[in-house]
Amino acid sequence: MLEVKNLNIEFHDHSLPETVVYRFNLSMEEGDIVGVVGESGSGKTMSALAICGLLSRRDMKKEGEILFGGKELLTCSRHEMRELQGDDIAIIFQEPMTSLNPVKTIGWQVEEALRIHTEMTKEERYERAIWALTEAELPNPEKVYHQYPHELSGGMRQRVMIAAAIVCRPRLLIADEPTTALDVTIQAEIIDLLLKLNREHKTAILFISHDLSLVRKLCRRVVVMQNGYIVEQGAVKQIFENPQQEYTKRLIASIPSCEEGKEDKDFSTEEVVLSAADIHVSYHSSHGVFGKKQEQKVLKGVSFALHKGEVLGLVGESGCGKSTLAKVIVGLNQKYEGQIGCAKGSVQMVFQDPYSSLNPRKTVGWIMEEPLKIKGGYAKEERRKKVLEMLQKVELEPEIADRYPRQLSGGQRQRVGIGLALMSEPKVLVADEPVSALDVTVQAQILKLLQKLKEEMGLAILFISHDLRVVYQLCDNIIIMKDGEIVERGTPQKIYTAHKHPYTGQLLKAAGIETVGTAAQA
Amino acid sequence: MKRKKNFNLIIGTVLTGLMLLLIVTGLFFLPYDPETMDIELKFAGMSPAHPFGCDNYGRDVFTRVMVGARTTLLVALGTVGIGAGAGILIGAFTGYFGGWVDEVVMRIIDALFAFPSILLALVVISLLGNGKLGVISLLLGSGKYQVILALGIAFIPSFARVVRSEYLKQREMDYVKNARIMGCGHLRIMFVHILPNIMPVLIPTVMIGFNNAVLSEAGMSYLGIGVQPPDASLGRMLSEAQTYLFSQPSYALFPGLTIVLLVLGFSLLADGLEER
Amino acid sequence: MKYVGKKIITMCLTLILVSFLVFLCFTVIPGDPALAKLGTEATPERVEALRKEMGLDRPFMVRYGDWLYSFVKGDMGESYSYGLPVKEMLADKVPITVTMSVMSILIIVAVSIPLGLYTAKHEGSVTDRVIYALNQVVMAVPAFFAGILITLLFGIVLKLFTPGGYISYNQSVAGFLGYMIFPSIAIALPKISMTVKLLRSGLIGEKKLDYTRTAYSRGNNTKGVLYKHVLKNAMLPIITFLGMTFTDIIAGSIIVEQVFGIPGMGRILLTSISNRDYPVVMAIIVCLAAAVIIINGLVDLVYQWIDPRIRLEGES
Repeated sequence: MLEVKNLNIEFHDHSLPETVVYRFNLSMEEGDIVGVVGESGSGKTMSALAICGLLSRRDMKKEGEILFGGKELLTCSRHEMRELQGDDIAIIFQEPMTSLNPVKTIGWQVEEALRIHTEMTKEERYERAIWALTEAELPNPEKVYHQYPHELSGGMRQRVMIAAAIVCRPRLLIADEPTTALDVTIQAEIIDLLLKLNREHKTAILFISHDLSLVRKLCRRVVVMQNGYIVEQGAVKQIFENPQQEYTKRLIASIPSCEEGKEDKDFSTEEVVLSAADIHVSYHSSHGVFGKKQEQKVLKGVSFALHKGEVLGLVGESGCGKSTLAKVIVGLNQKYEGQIGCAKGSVQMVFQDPYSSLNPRKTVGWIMEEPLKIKGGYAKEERRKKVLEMLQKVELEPEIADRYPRQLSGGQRQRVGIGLALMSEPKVLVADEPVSALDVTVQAQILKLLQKLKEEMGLAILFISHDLRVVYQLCDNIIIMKDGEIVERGTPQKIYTAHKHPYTGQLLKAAGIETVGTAAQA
Repeated sequence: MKRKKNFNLIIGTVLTGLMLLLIVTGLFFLPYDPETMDIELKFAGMSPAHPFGCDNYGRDVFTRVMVGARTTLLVALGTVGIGAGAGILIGAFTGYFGGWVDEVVMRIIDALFAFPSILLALVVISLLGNGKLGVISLLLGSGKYQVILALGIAFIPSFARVVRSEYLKQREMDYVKNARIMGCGHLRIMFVHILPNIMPVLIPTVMIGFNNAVLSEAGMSYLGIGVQPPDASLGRMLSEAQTYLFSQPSYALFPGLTIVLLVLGFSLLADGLEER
Repeated sequence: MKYVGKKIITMCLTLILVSFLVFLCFTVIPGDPALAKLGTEATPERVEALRKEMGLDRPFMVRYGDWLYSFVKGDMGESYSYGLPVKEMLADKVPITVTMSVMSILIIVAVSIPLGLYTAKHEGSVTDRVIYALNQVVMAVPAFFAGILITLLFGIVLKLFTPGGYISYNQSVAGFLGYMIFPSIAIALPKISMTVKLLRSGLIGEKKLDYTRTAYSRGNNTKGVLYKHVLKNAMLPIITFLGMTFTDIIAGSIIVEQVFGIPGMGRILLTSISNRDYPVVMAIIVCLAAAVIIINGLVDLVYQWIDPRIRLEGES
């Protein structure tokens, strides 16, 4: 059905032509599911966009052949291409928040492909749209039909995208990182939905992702890409169990594994460096002067203790209150009830997004000297020396001190972020999703660095994450939060083999972790 | 865009440079005395001796344009200085701290925003110079300093609004939170950490403000409420010239073109800088 | 509906605040109006008597309340210089300013929206660049200089109208409208170029957003994406901008009236300012500010009617 031969993609946007994809080959049968895996900059998205004809013809040069059902897509007229788009080839994107038109109703957007490609009457279109929305498993499709994108959650918007994509029953559905922006449990639901569509309608799916475990779960064949080249391709089983190429091996090795047994360590004899007792936070929202005041409880009595040298994992999905808890601990949120016990200035934080947590207008050196300046009592040379020492500790070159954050890669920035947090020699590090914005191989390096620093400096770390695999690897104890409450706590071994709360089971299943032991309750 | 050359920047720099050259030269050397009248030269046409001709009193128009442009520049710089200075302070404090002070100040700013800036300046001018504010006008003297104060005050709301909304955005950024966790004081965060980050928005705002100040000053002088004699002013030259539009259209053209080129150069420069 | 109610309440609050600021400025700062009214004939006894007569011996807030109450009822006080009721002095000026503002807005919308669409559609073409360059120049022309140039070109060279020969709407409505076209163009010109520039960059910016890619992926052609998806999104900031432009149009009309010799609100404001005729100045300023606030309030309502995101915020 789809046959891509020797596809090269070149940008002509800048003065020098830049090739982003080299000799891309792919063939897909009806009803096939193929995964394309690679880190950022590997050219996976570009290849996908080329197949569905969404790359501008003006700025790009494309060589090779893309045959879809016998038709050559690179040389056919734009009109012929448009006939296929949305009808036979459909695509869903990574960002469900921005991929829908904000000022049009869901129904209008789902029906759009029908208006373009079919002669259906209004009533037929409505019926078909409702069918698609139902098929995408949206609750109450008649209501959703009249709503606007901002009224829906991220997961629902992605379902709307899927409904709009399947409304003309395409033969090929291209899914470009469709779950990356979503919570883990919703991720799993979307994957199940894609599998169902494939099974029931024989829709072929080209699944682009950086997440190897998702690809493993969904796809039959997989293509591994790096820097624009195809590194390796083959059946999923073969690639995962017997990778041939060095890069593939590295990629697979950097998936945090939960298989090796982990010893439980006891920290109760160590000094408590951070404690939280019965923390409550609620937000008051009121509408206008005369509006009714509403109280929303974000944290409902959270307690824990963190000991010296311990890494405590805090796991939960968006909206569970984990970020609010972090804010309370570091002192950004003063409106809480309960007790936080820690020495003043002993807690520092590492943020999720290394792009925004460093002042973009200052050099790395300036940023890292700031804690020393505030503390006072250091001469200029002394501050510089300390910064260079710290850069060495986080395994960065000393030249980095004179660069601006935008000149660094994501991994380098996160190292600077960690170094900055450690400048004031804290006892506790609160790390809020510190690796979730990074590529998998970089992720593995940063985790290793955190481990090393923890041992060198005797730090305690509160590690906030949604990724159970990462948490398993790094943490000594785990807390699982849902709706502002701690639903489960224990050592990784205990949680992964004998969890008590059903929500934990849900998370584990979504993360693709086979639970060895059975749940204590159904 | 495939255009490699930044034409906006080039043309803008050239025009602004020429205008500055004209004004700076005028500080040290003027071809004629701007006030000397010579009835024989009344409405003299363009000639090598008087490149822009002469006005109804026989004064050299080119000289008067040089002096008028200087006054305009002075007023515009002063206006932007007052407006941006106070606007940054108000916007930074209200945007960063928020709360009820922000609510109250912003209500007032919104109310002031309902007045066109030139109307606001007219109000200030009409209030200055008598009653309780007379003291200020005694200190300032009349004429251009009053205009600067009036326009400066009139420009505060627009600057404050822009700066406030930027501070609102920036204070939610992680680097600000990071600075707070490190123990930075509020003032340091506001002016050392955040201020450089709003420059990409502030600089174009200041440049647009400068242009608006030039246009407003010209407008007020045209109405006869701006810069007063003996200071030459492009706006007033235009209003004088309008009377003689039938007989001597070129008299109106040159002061007007000077305003246009001054504003055009600066707005091209602003666009060019943004494009970079 | 809740949003509308909220909007109206904030509008009223702003109006009251504006009136208070104006009253504060013009009654506290300038000194004693009784003194001003009497001028050279002032003796302490006569001033005292007049103060009582004018009610100036009452507390400030009472005077403000009284002034506001009668203002809302339509009694705007009496001119110091002419002794006429302010309302009468303004009544025949209002239609002039309103006509000029409405005409300007119509010209701006009629010219700038097609131009903005055209330039965004043909981004980078020769026409686009020529329009861009023209825009930059026109933006730098102050409205009164544009007025002078229009007088020169259409009045003196082409003789399409008589400069300074204002025709009142009492004499001939057609002649009035025909004359008012020229000042309206002068006011509209700089605003047209700003609107074109904003619309063009808005459209181009929206074209780069993710949802347009989605629209293309469903088989839309360029035209379909532009008109069905992008236009509505790009119009939202334009609506706000046009609302704010109204403020500038009023400011422009004050000056341009002068260029074309039109006896509108602007002229009476200027003479009143130079005569220190504060009741008139206050009335005009409050009226103009009220117009601006009400227009901007209406624009906000239109905006929320078009943008579903705001609609929800107010209702939920």
